[in-house]
Amino acid sequence: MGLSPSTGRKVQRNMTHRKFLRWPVMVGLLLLLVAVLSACTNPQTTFSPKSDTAQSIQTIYLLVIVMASIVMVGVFGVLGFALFRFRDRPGRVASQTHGNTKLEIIWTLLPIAILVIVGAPALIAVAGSAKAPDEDALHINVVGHQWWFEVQYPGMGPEDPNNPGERLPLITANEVHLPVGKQIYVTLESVDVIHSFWIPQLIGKTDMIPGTVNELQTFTPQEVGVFYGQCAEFCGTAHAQMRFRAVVESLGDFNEWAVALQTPPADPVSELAAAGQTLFLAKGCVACHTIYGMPGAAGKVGPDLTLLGDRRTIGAGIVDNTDEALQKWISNPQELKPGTLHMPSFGLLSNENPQHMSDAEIRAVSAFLRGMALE
Amino acid sequence: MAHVQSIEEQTSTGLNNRKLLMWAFLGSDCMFFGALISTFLVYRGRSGSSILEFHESHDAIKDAIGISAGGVSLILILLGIVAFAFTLMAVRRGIVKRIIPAVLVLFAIVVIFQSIWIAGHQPEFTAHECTEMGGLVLPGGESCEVTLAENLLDIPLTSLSTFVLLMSSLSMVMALSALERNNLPSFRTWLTATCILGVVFLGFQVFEFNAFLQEGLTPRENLFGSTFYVLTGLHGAHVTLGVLWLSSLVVASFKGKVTQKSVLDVEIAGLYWHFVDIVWIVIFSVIYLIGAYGIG
Amino acid sequence: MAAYAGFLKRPVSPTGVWSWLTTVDHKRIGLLYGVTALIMFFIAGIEAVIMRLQLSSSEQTLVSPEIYNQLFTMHGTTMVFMVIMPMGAAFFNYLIPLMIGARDVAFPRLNAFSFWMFLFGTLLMHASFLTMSAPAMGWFAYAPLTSLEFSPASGVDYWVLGLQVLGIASMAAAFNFVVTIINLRAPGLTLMRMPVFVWMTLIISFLLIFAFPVITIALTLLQFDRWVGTHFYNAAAGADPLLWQHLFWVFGHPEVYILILPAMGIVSDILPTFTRKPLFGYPAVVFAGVSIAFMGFGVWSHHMFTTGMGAWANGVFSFATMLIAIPTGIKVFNWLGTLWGGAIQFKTPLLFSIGFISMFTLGGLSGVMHAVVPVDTQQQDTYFIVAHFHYVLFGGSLFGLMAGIYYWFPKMSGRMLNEGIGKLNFWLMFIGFNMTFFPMHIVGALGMPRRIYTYGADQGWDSINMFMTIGSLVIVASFLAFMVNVIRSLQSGERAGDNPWGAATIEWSISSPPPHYNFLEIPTVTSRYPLWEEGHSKGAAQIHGHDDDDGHAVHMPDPSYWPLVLSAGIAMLAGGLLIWKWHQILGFTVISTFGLLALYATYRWAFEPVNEPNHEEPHQ
Repeated sequence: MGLSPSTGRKVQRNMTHRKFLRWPVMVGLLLLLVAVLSACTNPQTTFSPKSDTAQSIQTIYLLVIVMASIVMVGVFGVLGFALFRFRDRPGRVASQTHGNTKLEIIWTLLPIAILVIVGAPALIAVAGSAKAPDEDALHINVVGHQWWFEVQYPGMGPEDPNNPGERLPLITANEVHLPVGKQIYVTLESVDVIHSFWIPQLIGKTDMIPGTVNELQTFTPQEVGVFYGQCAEFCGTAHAQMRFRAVVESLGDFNEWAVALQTPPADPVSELAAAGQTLFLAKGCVACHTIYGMPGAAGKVGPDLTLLGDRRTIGAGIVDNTDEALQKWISNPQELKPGTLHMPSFGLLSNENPQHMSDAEIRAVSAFLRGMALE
Repeated sequence: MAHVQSIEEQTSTGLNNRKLLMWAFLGSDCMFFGALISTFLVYRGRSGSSILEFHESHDAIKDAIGISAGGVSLILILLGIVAFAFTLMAVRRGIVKRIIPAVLVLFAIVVIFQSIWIAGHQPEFTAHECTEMGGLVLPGGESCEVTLAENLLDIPLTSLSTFVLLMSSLSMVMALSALERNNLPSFRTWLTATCILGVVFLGFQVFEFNAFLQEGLTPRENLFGSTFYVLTGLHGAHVTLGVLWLSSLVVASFKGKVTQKSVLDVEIAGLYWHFVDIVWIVIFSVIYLIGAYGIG
Repeated sequence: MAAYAGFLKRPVSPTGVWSWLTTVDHKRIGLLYGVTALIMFFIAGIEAVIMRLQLSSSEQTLVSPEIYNQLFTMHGTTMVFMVIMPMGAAFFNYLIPLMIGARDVAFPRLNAFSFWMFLFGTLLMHASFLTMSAPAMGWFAYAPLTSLEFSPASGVDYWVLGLQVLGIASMAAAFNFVVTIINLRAPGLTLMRMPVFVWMTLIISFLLIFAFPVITIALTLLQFDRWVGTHFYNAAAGADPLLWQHLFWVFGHPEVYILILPAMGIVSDILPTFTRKPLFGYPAVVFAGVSIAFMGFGVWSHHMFTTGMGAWANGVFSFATMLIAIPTGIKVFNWLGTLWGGAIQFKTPLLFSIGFISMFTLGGLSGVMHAVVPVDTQQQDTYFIVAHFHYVLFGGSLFGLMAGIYYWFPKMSGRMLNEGIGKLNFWLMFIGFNMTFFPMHIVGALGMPRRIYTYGADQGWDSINMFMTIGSLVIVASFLAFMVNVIRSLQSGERAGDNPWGAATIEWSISSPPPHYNFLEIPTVTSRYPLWEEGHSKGAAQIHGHDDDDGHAVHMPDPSYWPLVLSAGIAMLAGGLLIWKWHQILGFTVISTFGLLALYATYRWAFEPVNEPNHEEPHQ
């Protein structure tokens, strides 16, 4: 066959020795790694549930991991043992078995049993996921845009001037505020392509499909905190940078925030901010952006900027909300988020262009926008 | 010594290779049309409405030559029947050998004159037609809001074209049977009849497309337009390829290439032709019959 | 109508470039597929390495998002349609006639046509790189991102047309192999005596026949939307964007079984050779393959659990997907049963087969995890999924195909590959593969979505990504080892005899490489392992075709250029459609000209006899 018997034997023994040990060692190390990492404070981990639904998902997830690991250890164990025990050596004769009906029946029934153990809770959970929301659940409607999240709270906004008695929705962007302990019912839409809404620590994802309204499974956040969300369906150039934050807070804080969002902003405190407000109107920002209570600022193309100073991030969850970040965004959004639609790079426009903004002007607009915050 | 020619003669199952190939292909074509028909069914009833302006009737042909469009089309149909009979007689006697050009010329004539008829003859569109189609007369009395969909379909006419295609399958069977009995003139006649009936069916399709386009239903107008034209159009493309295939068999037979020994080749062509016919029965039932009688 | 009446005489020479362009010999066609697929593997691999370098740490700017999105789209599309499928095709082409005792496939010219369509489809799709806008919407191209409104560049059009052309290639091959396997078996070779690889090829051919037309329609509807303005995927007109997903995955799921079954067949035939015992439970392995194929048509919406189909649909597809795990598991257990009690020889083909079994098992297990809907809501569209399908497609399909390459290379080339370099190849690939793809389970569980060109430093995925990038470089090293092995072996490798592995199936009874007529006398087969039968060494001598016997009396089908001309015509017609979008008159001219050429080529092919009368026998 090519290899001399003595060389062959030596090589085979080394290799089978390695191969036999490889599986337990590898499995052990990796499980350790998983355990360590999942306990970490990774902000988007699926293994640190902070809502009831996420918790029940994790329970099934762990069940499935355990069952899969059992099968894996079993298969690898048999494989490793067979490779060692039945390796070719002088005098070894292969047993010419064609099959064993009893064994084959057992190893058909055994997977069925494992699948029943996994499948029963799985299918029960599927049935449960369609439960209608509670009467007093908080309804949020999220609309996907390329590449940001419009967040609406139906019936929580100011009174509708055209329909007395009806309230307009409260509107914000890229940040979802949720009162802790209250059931949340989210409906999902899209104005352009398919997006997906996902907060790993609170709830599994559901897609946002143009022309349809999808319902996210209801969930009740159980811990105060700020959680990461991200779009999870490829939606074009800047899909990687379509993120958001979910802020879970006490009911009192949530109400305070909701009220602030429908209170006309106070006059700008500093001269710089006042100048920024004038520029915000003059440079065309209002063509795309809305600020509640500011006359003339009613654009619907881009995210709502009301109470921007209170928002934790800029650009749909991609950078922290700081003066520097906001100024960079206004000057050249393409640098932070290549592919951004519609928003001009105000700092890069030529000086003759009336929309061009100097560094000082950008600082003023930034001061104005970030000045609008909860007291 | 195993001779490669015997691959054709000795097969593990006794089935001929090329026939098995055609069956495999028809299996894939089933899925092809299945996906298209499913798309049509999924989108039934989801079309948006269109705004159509009212207009008087208009017969450009009557203006031009004094005979109404309807009269012209009747004359053409009678001429067509006579031409059909003469063609078959001539083929039977071996006088006409160039059947493909004849078939194409016939098709061109049908299409051109039909288009002229359609373009020159526009029936009136008033509030009466609007409500009959299930539409809404808009305030102002000038236009109609209606969903252009199954209400446009002409069941009697399409039943006739379906019958024509069914008859073409019958003539195909007769052609095969004639070849099996080594009756070449009869074979050529029946096969030519199949081609012509296929072309007539295509003519009906073109007529229907023209009529719908004139009434404002384009592939872009709504979902019904998109699904209807693509489904029936792709079927029509299959029929066209079939007509080309069958007419080339007629030509080949005049050159002595199709004889009693080629029964298998003709049978395989027949399989394709019957498949195309059966698909049409399904399409007809799904689009026209279900659409008209509102089942499902 | 004589072929000589044309402006080009029918080819007769057995050597030279023209002989390769006009070949109808299944062995040459198989080699053409194989070499093309390896080149495409190299290209798609480079795309992957660039992606891994970009992702090695957060907020890198090695490539722009536009480029990155083109990279992952082309990487996926190329690997699926232009690497794994044609590598499988390379093996079908080369081996099926040899394994069933036939001289060639049922339709040799159709076979050549399949290859040329594959080559032209590959070139068409990659021509998009020349226009600087390769497709960038992901290999499954969800609507409405693919509409003109959201993808105005021509990348989507190249992708659609390239895939239509590739589809014609696959379907023609499927028809050919169904007829070949059903009708051209040697006397005594019943269906239940065929090598498992032949069974898997038969099953795959049926899958192709029934699945590919559905994506043909999905693509056609997309073409109509983009070029004619229809509304098949336009939500504003009342359409459902999910129609694309349904049509695509009705094709897409059987497609993944098309990708894995050849490797399963290869491994099922390699294990007996290196364990010196028959495959354990042959009927079960065959029936498991058949049931996987059937059931594979009933699980497609498990790719759509998060699209809001509702609890009933989710439940049904979840249940069906879990069911498919059963025949899959049966196959794995049967392979273990084959190893059990054997006399295992650790040659490179066996190493790759062990790699296949273990890695495919892992991939299958993560697949069952995805079948559990609540878990899938956390895993869908994350790197967990990327881990799963790389375990089954790389750890599974590619390892199986590598096993096949090492196993049949001696038969195809007449030379042995070097065992030492082979083992190095295996270990580098095994280690590099696990380094790159196992951590993807972890980083996916930590919330990293797929198809992102970068990620934030605050998301905590940096170190794992760096580790994975290093792993991908180890894979590159393994591929280099492979190329070194192949090139060295072709130049100066040890000569292989007829049956260097002591295998049992009839392709090992003829010379390495086989003569152009395969078998001097078609053998009569009496069992699954003919060459291991008692006293069969005499039989083996009977059916030997030695190189010095030029088999003059055996007539093989003559070469032909019509398959090449027809595929060029169809490919140019597709190109004309692309031109039409940009310049209507020129495009229409190209479409009509090449459409007529294609029609003409069809007629000439149809009337061309399999053999010319009074011809010289070509020796290929």
